[in-house]
Amino acid sequence: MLRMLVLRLIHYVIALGEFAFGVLKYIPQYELLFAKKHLASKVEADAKKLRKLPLHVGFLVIENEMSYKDLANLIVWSVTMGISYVSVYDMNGEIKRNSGNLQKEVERSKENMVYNDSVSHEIQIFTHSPQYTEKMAVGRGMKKASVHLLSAEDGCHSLVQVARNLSRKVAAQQSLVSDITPASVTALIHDSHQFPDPDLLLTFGPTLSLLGYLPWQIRLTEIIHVASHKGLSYEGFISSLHSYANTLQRFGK
Amino acid sequence: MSWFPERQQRTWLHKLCAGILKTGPVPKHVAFIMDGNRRFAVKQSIDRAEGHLKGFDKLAETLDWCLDLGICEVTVYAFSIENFKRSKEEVQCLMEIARQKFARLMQEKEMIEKHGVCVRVLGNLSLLPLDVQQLIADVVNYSKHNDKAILNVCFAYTAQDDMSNAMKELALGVKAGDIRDSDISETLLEQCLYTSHSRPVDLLIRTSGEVRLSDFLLWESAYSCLVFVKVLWPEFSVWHLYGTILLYQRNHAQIQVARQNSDIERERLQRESDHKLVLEELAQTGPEHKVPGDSITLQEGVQKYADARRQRTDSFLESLNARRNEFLERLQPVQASAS
Repeated sequence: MLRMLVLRLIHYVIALGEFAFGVLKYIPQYELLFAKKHLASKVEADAKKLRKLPLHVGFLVIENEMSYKDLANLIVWSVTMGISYVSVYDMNGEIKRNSGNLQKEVERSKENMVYNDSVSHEIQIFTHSPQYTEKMAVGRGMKKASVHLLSAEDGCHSLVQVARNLSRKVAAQQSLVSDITPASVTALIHDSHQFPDPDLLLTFGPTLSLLGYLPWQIRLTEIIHVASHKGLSYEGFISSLHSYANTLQRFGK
Repeated sequence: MSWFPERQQRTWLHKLCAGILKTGPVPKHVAFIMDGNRRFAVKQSIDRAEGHLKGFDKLAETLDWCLDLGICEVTVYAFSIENFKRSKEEVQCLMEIARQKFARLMQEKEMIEKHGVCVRVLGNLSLLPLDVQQLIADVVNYSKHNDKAILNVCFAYTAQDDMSNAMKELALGVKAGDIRDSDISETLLEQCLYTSHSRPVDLLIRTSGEVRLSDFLLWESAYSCLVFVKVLWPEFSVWHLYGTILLYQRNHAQIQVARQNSDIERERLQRESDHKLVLEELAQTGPEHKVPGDSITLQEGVQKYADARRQRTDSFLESLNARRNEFLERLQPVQASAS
């Protein structure tokens, strides 16, 4: 009994120590001050310094409180760097339900970006649901970038939809069973989702887990864990992109 | 080296740490991506084959640590379908290791019995050389009735291949009229995967510092705790294992909540779909059968429909599993070709 108690106590102490260590690591990447103005030309130059840039970056939030201001900053920084596809995911669809809120924050965040000679992007925000896709736009421009708001229903459940469609087609003799391959499923998924597989996923929150984020498309995605999205500074964001740019994939070889 | 290495004497420190960890939740099912054997070989300037052998030894050791902690199911990524793209020599070398190790396992029958180990090999076995298939069938059939410790070896596996295979099976079932396309749900799709007999994956560990899943357990790891460890697989030590379990324990509660939410949502979708289909059926049978406000009949109808659906899917899964078992049984006997 006493032994159990002592062991449990040690367990708590270790957990506490781990937590404190986490906080110490957390502080330098965050700014708790007012929003800073950013120069678009500097962000673009930073992007050019990276050896590779993701075509699609995903943000997965595993935190109870959302900060739409910080999510909007992440979106605007990504788009200004030249990333064409951004997905923002939370399991329960809270971000989807607050898409209007996010849109307003994206507008505000764009105002904090000083463009001068740089071209500003039109940011299109898509909210997917099984019935329809809602589209909102921020800004206007020749260059377009899309933001997809996702939740658990876009993951496993969309694979169920694919399986049903394929079964119907096979039963109606419109296609063969042997036509069902990883490549054909990928094609169907790209058709319905309208974005390529994510190259980089940043997960925000104390827990590192995917919580149902796009199980089919996550195959080769680099997953980088960041303590929190709240108050994340531009420098903190760019350091994650640097670690992405420096990885090498061998594709099984 | 054997699958059951001589257990090294645990130091008092190991015992203490294991004791501390066991006061918290211990994962039941842990998955490993054993990455870094080749880089280890380069680092130590030894042969690639030697590196892979060292990797196997580490696996045997790790399984023992897991048993000691009370982790009763382990899944490892041994060979990906993508790995067939490697040089011919290396693929042959890996197949040779597999031959030796599976044959060795059959020589250690009494240890399999002693620990009650069940070995399953998950993947598209038909892509493998026939003699390797036969050796695998031998081991799987021999150990399939054990349930104390389960080892899943993913061999000629990728998660996308697994999922698209499941979709194929479902399409065949729909075509044959065994199930309806509306019967396909997350639960049914999951039950067609190679991992259908496994517990949910609680913790997924990848060594060597790479931070991606590389087509491993994509569906199954949706609600598991991920840990990426910087060391190369042959350097993985019991302390790294303890560290990952500590991380798992800190994240356990949150993931558990998410998993429950996802289960609730699944059930809701199923009920909703049953309800909708019964209403459609009623509408088709004509207005004279549809009495407004007659909710008891509707409820009964939904209940009846759900029972029938369950019957359909159960018998479909039963025949799918029987077919998979039969495939393995037909590959035996092996003695003639193994020698």
